[in-house]
Amino acid sequence: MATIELAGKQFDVDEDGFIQDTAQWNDDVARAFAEQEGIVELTEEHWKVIRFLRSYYLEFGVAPMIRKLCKETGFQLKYIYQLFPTGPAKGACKLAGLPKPTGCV
Amino acid sequence: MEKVKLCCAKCGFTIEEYTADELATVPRKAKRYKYLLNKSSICPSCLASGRLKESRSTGEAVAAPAPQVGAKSSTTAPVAHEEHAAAATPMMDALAKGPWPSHTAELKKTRYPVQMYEEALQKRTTQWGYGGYVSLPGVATGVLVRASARPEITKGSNFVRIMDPCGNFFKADAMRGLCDIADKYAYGLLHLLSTGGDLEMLGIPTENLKPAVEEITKLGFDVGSTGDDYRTSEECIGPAKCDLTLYDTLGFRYAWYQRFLDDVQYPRFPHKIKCKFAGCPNDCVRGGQKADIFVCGVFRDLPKIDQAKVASWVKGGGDITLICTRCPGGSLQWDAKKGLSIDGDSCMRCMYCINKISGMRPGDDRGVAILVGGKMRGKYGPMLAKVLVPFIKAVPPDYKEVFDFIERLTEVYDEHARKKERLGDFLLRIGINEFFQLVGVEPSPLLFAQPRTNLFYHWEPSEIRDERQK
Repeated sequence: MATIELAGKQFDVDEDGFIQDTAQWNDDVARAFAEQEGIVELTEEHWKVIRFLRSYYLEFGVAPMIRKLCKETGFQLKYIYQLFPTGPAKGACKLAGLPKPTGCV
Repeated sequence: MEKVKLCCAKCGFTIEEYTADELATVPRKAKRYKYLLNKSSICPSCLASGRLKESRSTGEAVAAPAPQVGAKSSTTAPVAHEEHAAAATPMMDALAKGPWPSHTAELKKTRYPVQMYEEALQKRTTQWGYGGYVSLPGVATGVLVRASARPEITKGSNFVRIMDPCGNFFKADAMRGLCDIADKYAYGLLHLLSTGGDLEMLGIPTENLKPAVEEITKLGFDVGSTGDDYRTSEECIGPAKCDLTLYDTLGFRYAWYQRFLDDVQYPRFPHKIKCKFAGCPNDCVRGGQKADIFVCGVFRDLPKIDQAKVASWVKGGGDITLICTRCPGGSLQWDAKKGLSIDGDSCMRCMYCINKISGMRPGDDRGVAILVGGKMRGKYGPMLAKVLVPFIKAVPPDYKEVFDFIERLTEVYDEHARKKERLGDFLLRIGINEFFQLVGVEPSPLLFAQPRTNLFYHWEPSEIRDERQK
């Protein structure tokens, strides 16, 4: 199991850098991942997406479909790609501390 | 840390994996391990059944991945630029003999790893592995990567799909630009017009992806069309070269790109959607077999007959009786005095007579039919497309009515289909009647699953007779 140091703490990650234990996640982890992903500053809109992904994951145990994400947050898919350049699956889910989604989100 | 793997005894596929610590401390996993070891299981990879084989190995923990910047791979190690050693290629040399231009001779001139093809010929099976995507900031769909089953020859190959202009027309200058990019960054090899209607540039190392894509977009081309989105559409050559086309397929595809380009570049559907546009029921793009959404030009009235031309064609040796007998509806009648006549009720508008007899043209009341659910792969195998809308007018320049309908169709698919379910599988699962209700189409006798043969044959009472009562 690979490990990574974020915000002064050690985390177990898989080969793509997704953290394994969702419960360890906090806001600092998201900020540290944002730096890696090349996001300059996490705005309120970033947090809206991240908070929705987390609440959905904690409720249902899976990452939501893209359609659900766009509908609930009210953002166009194109705008989500502007917020998270690597996309909702590899970008947003990683920041939200979810395990790697199996499909394409 | 010692690792315990349970593998298929036949093919070696790893079915379960544990660490020695887990087996000692977690009773649930130990129980499962014991259960699997004593039971005959079916391998999901080769479908062989039997006892599983146990293998133990001591592996070092892998190091933490370095902070990833820019392009990075999700499924495989980054594909680096590599030089391939020259080696003997007897099988490929044999294919280069003879008068016809040889593909092996062309491959050898480029940086393509020829040993992959040579080994494939010798072992009679491909040496390439599974596919995947490399995410690239700025390209939402990502870039395709083809992994290699022989890492000692090549680590794999990234390739981008380039959307071609309508009609697959390239100006020579633009092509030269693409060739320069392929020479500079890739194998120096272009896969011209794959079956999906796009151009593939093969073998771009991962560190070259960003500059390569930048230069391609600078030339005015777009990359994309991978993942769960609209794939690049394909149309028949239509009014640019053909005389039979019933609507402007090139303009239609252009308008389609104008309207749906976001869906081509940003994946959001449950699975891929392929669109094909054919100008007439001859269906040169094979849309009925391959496309999830197939728009086909149709006409509602009867084929037009130029009697003088038909008569001169018959006089010149045309076999009119053969055509009349082979007409699928049996609706053609030839009389030497009266000329050719068509029975409107049984005519299928299949284009057979129009293709064969000079002097026959398609009718004037023209539009398009929309068919859904054709595919070659997917969960339930190959399927033919089903007619959803038998006739709808295609009005240029924006074809609003048709595209609104297609959008409604994809919204239904997006909302109700499961993950990784093609449109044809989705139709089979929920049933065509349910789908009609969801999309909002009135079912009518004009909708057919297959070309009509005897579906609406009118039985006379005298023809209906019970075999048991003689």
